[in-house]
Amino acid sequence: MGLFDFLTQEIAIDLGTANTLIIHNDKVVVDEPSIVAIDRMTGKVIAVGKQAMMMHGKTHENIKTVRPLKDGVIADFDAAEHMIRGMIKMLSPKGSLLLLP
Amino acid sequence: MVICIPSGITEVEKRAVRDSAEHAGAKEVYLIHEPMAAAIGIGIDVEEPMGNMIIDIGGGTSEIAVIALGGIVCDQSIRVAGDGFTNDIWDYMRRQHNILIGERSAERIKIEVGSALPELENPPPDFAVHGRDLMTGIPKEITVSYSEIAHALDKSISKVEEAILKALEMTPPELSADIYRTGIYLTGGGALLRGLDQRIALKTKLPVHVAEDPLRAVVRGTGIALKNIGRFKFLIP
Repeated sequence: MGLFDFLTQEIAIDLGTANTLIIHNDKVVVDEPSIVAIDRMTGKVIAVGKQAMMMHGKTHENIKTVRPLKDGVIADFDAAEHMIRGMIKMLSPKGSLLLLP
Repeated sequence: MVICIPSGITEVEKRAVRDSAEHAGAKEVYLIHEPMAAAIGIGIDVEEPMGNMIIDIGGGTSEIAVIALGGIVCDQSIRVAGDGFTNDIWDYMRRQHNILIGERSAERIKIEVGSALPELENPPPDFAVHGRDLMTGIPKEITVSYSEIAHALDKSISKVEEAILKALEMTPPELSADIYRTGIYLTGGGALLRGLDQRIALKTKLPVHVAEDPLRAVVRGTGIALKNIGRFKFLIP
């Protein structure tokens, strides 16, 4: 799994109902709304965070936007996992290419 | 990886958070209670034998906790918070103005003219909102003022106040004495609601401090906890 490179990095997550924030090296590196847009046909993630928020309420039948958290807890397990994964990816725009110094 | 969780969470819900983090690729997951993280983020020394009351009004839950000696002494967690406020505004617009608005528009109203008191010292200007007229079906514009929104939010804010009073009631007297001196710390997105600090101060007759950058207090605290994984005993491995 490409994400394994990340495991050497330590991150702190505030997994909120409205916003998810990630701290890495004492800096807030991700501050995005907790929402994902999913393609209904393929089940793939189209967008995470702000981009998905722009789609919220404006989708056609092939896209659904999901807020994986409800009342502070995970309501949609699968979507939450996709969201966390997507947000961790935002830490390094080039995916798993990031190497630690 | 350190993730924060609401204090009123059940074991099953805790497991869900841990599992999804592990699925997303985390090797070691530590959990921390949100009020604890918020207190650390505000800059309170949580390990002192000193009571502090934290109110964290987030998106889905409002957490009220009294913290001393690195632990939560008593807490109240209610599922009335930012999303509930947004829903109240949506409902109010539909009933009062016969206009259907989207969730995002409702949230915009909350941010632009949201208020906890019907009279403010520095009132925000009226806000124009667009939606669909329920009678005619035609798109329409309506302007709303902060006092209307204060009225719409009153019920939910009363619930938060009630929870605060309940938490104060449960607090052991020695800690009550501490809280009388230090006051209450307000954090989370709800802290940005105009007049909320004044309203809580009026109700409890205690000083209320709004944290600096309240939206990020919890994540700041979680970040500090991450660096002290070995030392902080309140992290749940």
